[in-house]
Amino acid sequence: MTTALRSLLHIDILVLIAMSGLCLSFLMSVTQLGLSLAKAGKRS
Amino acid sequence: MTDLFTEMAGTAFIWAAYIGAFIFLARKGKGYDAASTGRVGFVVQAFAYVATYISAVALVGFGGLAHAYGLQLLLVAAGNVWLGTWFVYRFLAWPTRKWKERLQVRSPATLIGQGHNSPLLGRVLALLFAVLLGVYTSAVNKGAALLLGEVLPLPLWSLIWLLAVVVGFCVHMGGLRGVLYTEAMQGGIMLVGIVMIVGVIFSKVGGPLQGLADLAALPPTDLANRGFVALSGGGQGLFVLSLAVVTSVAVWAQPQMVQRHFAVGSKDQLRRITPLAMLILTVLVGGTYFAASLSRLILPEVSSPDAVMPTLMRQLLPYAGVQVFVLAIVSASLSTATALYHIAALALAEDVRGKKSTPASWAVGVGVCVVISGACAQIEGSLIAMLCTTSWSLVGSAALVPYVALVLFGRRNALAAWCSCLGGFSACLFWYLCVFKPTALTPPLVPSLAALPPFFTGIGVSIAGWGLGGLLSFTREPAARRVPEA
Repeated sequence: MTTALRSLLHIDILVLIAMSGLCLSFLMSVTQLGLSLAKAGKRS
Repeated sequence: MTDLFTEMAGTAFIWAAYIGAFIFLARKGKGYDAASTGRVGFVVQAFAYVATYISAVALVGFGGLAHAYGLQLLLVAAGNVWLGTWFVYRFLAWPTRKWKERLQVRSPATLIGQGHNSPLLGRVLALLFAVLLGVYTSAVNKGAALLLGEVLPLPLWSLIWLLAVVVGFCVHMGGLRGVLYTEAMQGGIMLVGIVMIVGVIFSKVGGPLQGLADLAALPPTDLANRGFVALSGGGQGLFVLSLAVVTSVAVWAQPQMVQRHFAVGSKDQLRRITPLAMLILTVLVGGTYFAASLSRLILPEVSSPDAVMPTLMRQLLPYAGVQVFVLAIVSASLSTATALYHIAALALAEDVRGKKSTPASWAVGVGVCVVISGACAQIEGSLIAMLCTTSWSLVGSAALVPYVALVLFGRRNALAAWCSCLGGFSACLFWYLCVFKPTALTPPLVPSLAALPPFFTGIGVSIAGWGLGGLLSFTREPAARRVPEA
């Protein structure tokens, strides 16, 4: 955890925003797809 | 000797299977006409959208730039995911589908033309798409042939013609539906290849976090002048930001991308396509640029940015891995090529003629594309190189404002659309020829603005053209209409 934070602290704010945007996109997509598949599974 | 024979047999088997699958999936379009999709599942649509979007330039070219510029290239990846995909599916895809149904049109050029009550505008745009995208396919084709030459010992000219004919055959046989299925397969192969090389690079640098710490410790260079984990200062930083905007916004009105929305079946389906397309794109471009930045730790200097990914491939992957990675990059090129062939052929076969294509006109349209693509790829001409470099921005500058005005704001105005289209295209072309330093034929007319990308000028003038046209038509006909969204 400490290593991770130290690594991230080196990074410029704009690049950090871009990385967060990509992480958010990944998590959001996985969650939405999971929910959508679960819904479809329930229906069938 | 036996090993060499096994390798050659393996290579031949992999490529024969690939071409076989390509043709098999193109046959899915049999029984549908050139511009019809029928019902297409959300997985196929999501993979097809990403595969059309991401060409080998994005993976190999921009991967090389990530090696040179560092993590700031993630701004391009984030822009592609949020502006180029999320925004498009949230605000443009469904209205485009509804307008297509309402106007009973079959192509993006006629959508804009009929949408603004000017069939002639549709024909002019179709001609523009056919010329620019037809020639652009030659660059895509040549890129794929060069990579294929890494694993198949055949002369370059023969590989170029082989690819042009195979792509043309599949597009002719499958039409739009076949193109979507082949692109989906290619998108899947791209994902496998990229995940593989990203995994290998991560393991070589001791994991992403260790890699980040080591990358941050590297001294700045001319391109990454604030280090490899920060946006560069001056012109270098501006270049990265402009790359992010051009690749994420100009894509909205590229006809091959607009056409993907025609296949959307319902809003419910759209809610599944969006996250899946974002997920694939995040892994593909985010993973590639992140790993390519970290690759600087294991590959400090290379001859040119374009050599980075092939060098990494040769150094890090075993024989089977090289085959999969080359398949992935060739797939990135071919998926873009099939989409471009289809748009250019459809423009020639029916949009320019102003009537629905027949089997004969469709065959002629595809044949012309094969010849243009194959022949232009053999020529080392500066005009062709120029058209290939500029087509993305020129098409975006001409079509983006009238398209967005129609589908996002429900505005229909022929004069405004003409002013916007001609103004945007002319301004972008002028900027390329006379001001933008990398492409100007003479010393830049305005040296202080020589670094400003032509797409920005094109879009600025296009918006002004729309405003001017709207004002003129308002004074002539106060009833310039705002039609409610379809």
